[in-house]
Amino acid sequence: MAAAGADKVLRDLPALGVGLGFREPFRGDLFMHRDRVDFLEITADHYLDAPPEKLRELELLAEHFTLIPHALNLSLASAEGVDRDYLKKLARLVRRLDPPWWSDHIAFTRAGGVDIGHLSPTVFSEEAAQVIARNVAAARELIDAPLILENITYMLTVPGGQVSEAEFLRAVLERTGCGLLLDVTNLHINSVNHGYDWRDFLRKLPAERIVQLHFVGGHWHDGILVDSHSHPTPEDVWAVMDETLRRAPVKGVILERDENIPPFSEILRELDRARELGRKHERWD
Amino acid sequence: MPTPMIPHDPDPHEIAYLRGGENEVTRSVIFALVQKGLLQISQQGKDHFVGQVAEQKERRSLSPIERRTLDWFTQPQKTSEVFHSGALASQLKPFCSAYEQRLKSEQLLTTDEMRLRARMVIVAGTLAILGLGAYKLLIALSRGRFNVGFLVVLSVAGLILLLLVCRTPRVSRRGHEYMERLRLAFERLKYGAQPSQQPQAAGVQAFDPSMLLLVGVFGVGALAGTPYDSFQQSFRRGAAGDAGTGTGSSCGSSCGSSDSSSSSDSSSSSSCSSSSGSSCSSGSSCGGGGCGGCGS
Repeated sequence: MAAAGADKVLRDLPALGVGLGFREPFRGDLFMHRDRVDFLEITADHYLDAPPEKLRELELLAEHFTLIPHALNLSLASAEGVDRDYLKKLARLVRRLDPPWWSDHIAFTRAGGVDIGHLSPTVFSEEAAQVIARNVAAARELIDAPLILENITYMLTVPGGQVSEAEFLRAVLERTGCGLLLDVTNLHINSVNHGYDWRDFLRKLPAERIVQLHFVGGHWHDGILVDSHSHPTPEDVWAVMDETLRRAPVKGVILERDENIPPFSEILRELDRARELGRKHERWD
Repeated sequence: MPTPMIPHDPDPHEIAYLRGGENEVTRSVIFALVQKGLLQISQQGKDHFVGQVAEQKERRSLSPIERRTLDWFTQPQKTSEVFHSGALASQLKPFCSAYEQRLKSEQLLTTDEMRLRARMVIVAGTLAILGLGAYKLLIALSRGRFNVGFLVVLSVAGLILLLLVCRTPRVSRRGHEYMERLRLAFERLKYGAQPSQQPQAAGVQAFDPSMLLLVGVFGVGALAGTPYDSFQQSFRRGAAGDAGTGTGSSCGSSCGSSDSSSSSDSSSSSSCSSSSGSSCSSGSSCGGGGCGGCGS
């Protein structure tokens, strides 16, 4: 019953289309090409204890774009629970923006009160899924907007897991009633680094829960594919995105370019391509 | 009224008009034509000249205001003459009038109605202050008290305060807020402009709409350190004596010392004209180099 309710909430979310992970260097170009960027994803952490200048920027962005807050540090997989101060600030931000949804990662960034400063994978176990569900419930006490959870990349599989990553994601989504922010680049990178078939992975996920996608290109380092957000989206990732858009009622996709930032025309070309893919599968106009 | 949204396709020339009037429009249009390879700036001795490029390219993509400006440069003109003669300003007047009308309809420029309202408040306030002051003065004098200095000072201070509160600068408060919004939105374009590797004449570069928008929002001072650095330098020098010519006297309120009547006195026009372009473009005192008389 609860799952059916969650599905309905996710189904009724608006289709936002194609957007960009906002980074300051994009600001001028974004306003010059507003008709080609449907929405923005902002890094919530940048605006939690922000100076007035950042808040003015936030206000400016909010007046011109739909903004999706993307949190980094809620540490939903922390067995010790979420940081209440951080959560309160995050809740204030989300309330201020009133977004269709917000997101964080299936990961922990804090353990024993120590901030790791990195999205770390949790063990793929029933117990870990329960921890995440508990933390999501705590977040929901303060934030009404639907939460969607993102899959991360991991260099090593944490020992002690009982299920595969895909099964773990499914369990987390079922327990929390959250939507999935499927980072297709992360999926591709994990499939390469851990040697599995991304199509199999995709088939195991509840397609109806996939709300949003992230995409970008990484780079190779010592035989390992690194999620560096530093290169154009490779063809393999476009293929994952195409298949995901075919299978799932995705509401929006976000290009996440952080490093090695190219001329904005290249960013726009990638957004246009993503828009065409979504149109092909009738996900947006 | 809320501050207007930034349009999908902002018009750099209209923004330049809002920021600084006709002189700023002139600069932005000339810059657009230089960028498009239709005008060039050359140097003879100490003087800089603007003239048409010998081999004229495709003109169809030009806007009417750009076409009119290009036609005006049948002969090369000294950059300072562009502003002094007033001939180009008269050519651009119809376009600037249209900008003015639109900006006034958006209440970004102070409208006649706003001025009238301010005048009425000033009259009413003056009458109230003087009336009350005179009444108290008469009572004091009738009772043989002559310690009225404080009353007189207070009345004068009240009048000054009233005039300050009710002054009507060319750009309305809404206009300033809109300009602030534009600056915030587009300031990052400054960092996108490639620094010039070596000094070069302000000639043909590939047309980059973001550079033109940068000039519209921040003035030519924003070109410092870009491949168009020589453009801003020649216009800074060439325009040093044009403080306040035409209707570009909007600087008055934000630059403080610019005087629309001091049209040819560069040394007295304002602190902007005697300082470097960068100080104007910093936005600290001139609203991002937006003064008509800054030459940047």
